[in-house]
Amino acid sequence: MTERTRHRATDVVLRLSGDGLAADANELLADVMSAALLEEVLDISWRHQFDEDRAVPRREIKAAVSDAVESRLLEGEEK
Amino acid sequence: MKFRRIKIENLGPYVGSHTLELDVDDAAPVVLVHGENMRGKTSLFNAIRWVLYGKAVGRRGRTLPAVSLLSYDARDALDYHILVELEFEHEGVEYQLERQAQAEVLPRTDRDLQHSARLRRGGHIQPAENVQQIISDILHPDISRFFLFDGEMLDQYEILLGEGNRDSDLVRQSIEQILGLPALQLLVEDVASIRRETEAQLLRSAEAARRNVAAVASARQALASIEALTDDIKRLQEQREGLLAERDTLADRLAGFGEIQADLREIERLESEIKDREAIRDDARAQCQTIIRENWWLPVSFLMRTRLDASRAASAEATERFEDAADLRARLSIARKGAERSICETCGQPLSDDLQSRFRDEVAQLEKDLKVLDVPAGALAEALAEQRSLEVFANTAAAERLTTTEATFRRANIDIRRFTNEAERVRERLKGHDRTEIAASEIQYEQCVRQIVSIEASIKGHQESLEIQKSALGRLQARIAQTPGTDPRVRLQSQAFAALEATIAAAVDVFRQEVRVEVERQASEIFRHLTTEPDYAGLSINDNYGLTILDGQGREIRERSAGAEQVVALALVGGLNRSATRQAPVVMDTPFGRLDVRHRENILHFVPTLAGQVLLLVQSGELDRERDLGHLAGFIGREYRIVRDGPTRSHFEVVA
Repeated sequence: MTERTRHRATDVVLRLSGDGLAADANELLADVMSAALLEEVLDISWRHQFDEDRAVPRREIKAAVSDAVESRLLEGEEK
Repeated sequence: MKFRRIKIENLGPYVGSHTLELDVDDAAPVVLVHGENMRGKTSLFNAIRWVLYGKAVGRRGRTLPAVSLLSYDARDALDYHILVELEFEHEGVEYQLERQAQAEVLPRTDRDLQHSARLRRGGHIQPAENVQQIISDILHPDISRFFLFDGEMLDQYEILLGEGNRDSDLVRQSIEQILGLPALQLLVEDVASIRRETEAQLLRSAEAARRNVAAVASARQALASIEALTDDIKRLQEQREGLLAERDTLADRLAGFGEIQADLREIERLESEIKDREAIRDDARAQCQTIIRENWWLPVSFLMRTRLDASRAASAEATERFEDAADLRARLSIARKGAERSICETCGQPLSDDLQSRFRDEVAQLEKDLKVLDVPAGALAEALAEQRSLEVFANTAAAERLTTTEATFRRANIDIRRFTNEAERVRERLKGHDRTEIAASEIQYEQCVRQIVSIEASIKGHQESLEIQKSALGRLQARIAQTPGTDPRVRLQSQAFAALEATIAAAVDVFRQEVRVEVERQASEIFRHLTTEPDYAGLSINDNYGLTILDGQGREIRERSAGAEQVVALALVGGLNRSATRQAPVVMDTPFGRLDVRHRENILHFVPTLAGQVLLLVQSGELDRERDLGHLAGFIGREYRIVRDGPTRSHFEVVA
């Protein structure tokens, strides 16, 4: 049941993924805001809220989200 | 989560230790517990709620003090301890939760009890301070009402799911909690916080480029304001939540004082009655004194009356003798004239010797009679004088008034004794309760409400300022971003986090709407199976997850019976359980109370699909073993009966 709800939440975020970008967002930014990144950050948050990472301090979760975005940016730049 | 077993000691009618095995497999998930009224179904229900959350609930949803859970028989045996132990499995880990409340001497309030909770996870004892948090993580108390389901409190679901009250907000939040909203909401908060940090970094980068120094300074100021305002709002919101919780606790406490307040009012009434009766008694006493002062003889009135009666009789006799004597004297005068004269005085005829002789005989007889009747001189006057003097004591009105007043005096005294005894009994009940504590709680409650109003106004003001600052920062950032020299990577990071925040923030609302639609769909499907009304097509859901019945044309059915209310509530519980992120046992106390036969049959078919473990606590009036159990055939994993051992004592028995 948790999985089904999680998929629904991920699905909603992916459907809206283009909406958060400004009209003049560059190609790299559009690339960074990929499904993979969104799924990754949602996964981090979901694990913290409902699963195995419930005991992890919030600041570490925040750092993990930040790292995920930055590594995607790095990957984009390297390409 | 799945319950393995529960052990109950000295709670409600369960005197001593009683263990109930609850473990069932998915194929037969129903644990059925039969019990007539007053046997202990609700005590079992409250034992589960109390061991999980340290809280039991009475009628009308009011929190019950733990002291009221203590078995009467244990209390009589001077055994002042309650214990509930629940063993359960959650996500493959075994848990043992134990909660105790005990006292050395007879506890009168919860303050007299020592409370403790102990939790083993996978065999390891957890720190006491973490116990409630661990339980909340598994099944949060705010969402427990959808798993611990009291059929007799269904009307509260309707109130809870209405609009605009603290409880409906809590229920909405708890529903959204089990539906997974917080994962997105917290992610938005985290990303917003990271975005602000990258924006600060961007400003540092722009400053380093020595351009737009003023704009950077303003932006930095705006950013600092946003940070401070965001923190303030969060702090104020936490304060508000704390105050709302405190207000609810105080409201519960005040409601718990209801009986005490009723007793206090009763004492006031009795004291007022006593005062009234004392006034009546004192008045009666004063009246008695006045009557006796004015009628001093009243205490010996019976003697005076005897004397008066004798005097009246003597006067009457004397009068009678006096009158008889006067009559005899008149007759004697005539007889003497006849005896002394030879010629009749009237006709002048001579009187014969014989006639004269008879006159002489009559004179002799009359003189003799007169001698017998003779009343001494002054005797009549004396008798009449004595009678006159005694007649004053013939006043019966004073005696009657005294009798009535004395009766009033005695009645008032009896009432005073009765009211004093009643007041003593109530005072005995009130021993240990402090009136000043009630008054203090009322004052605290009012202060709490005032603080909440003030904080809400403050939050609103802060939010308005925050929007102004955000808008200013947006304008400044647009200007700075165009400045050559800012670190493009930091700028990209800032844009990425802004985009991420915007996306997920938008997703929260869409997700909320979608899960609501999902709950509505699931609840409607269940409702169509449960209802016996063919014209009902389904349910529509409002923002607070309240449900309205729709007919075949999609029109809302506003009026619904108590039975329909129960079916709608069950449909909501089923819909939420199917859509929830958490799976937990569903415990239903008296779930069929208001249902007719067909609804009951429909629900019995539905129950085994409700959750992986369903505890049904039922009484014979709502579920007949012979008649109804066919509907649950094959789904009953365990079956018990609560057996009465006495008016305050029961035990569980396995149904073969």
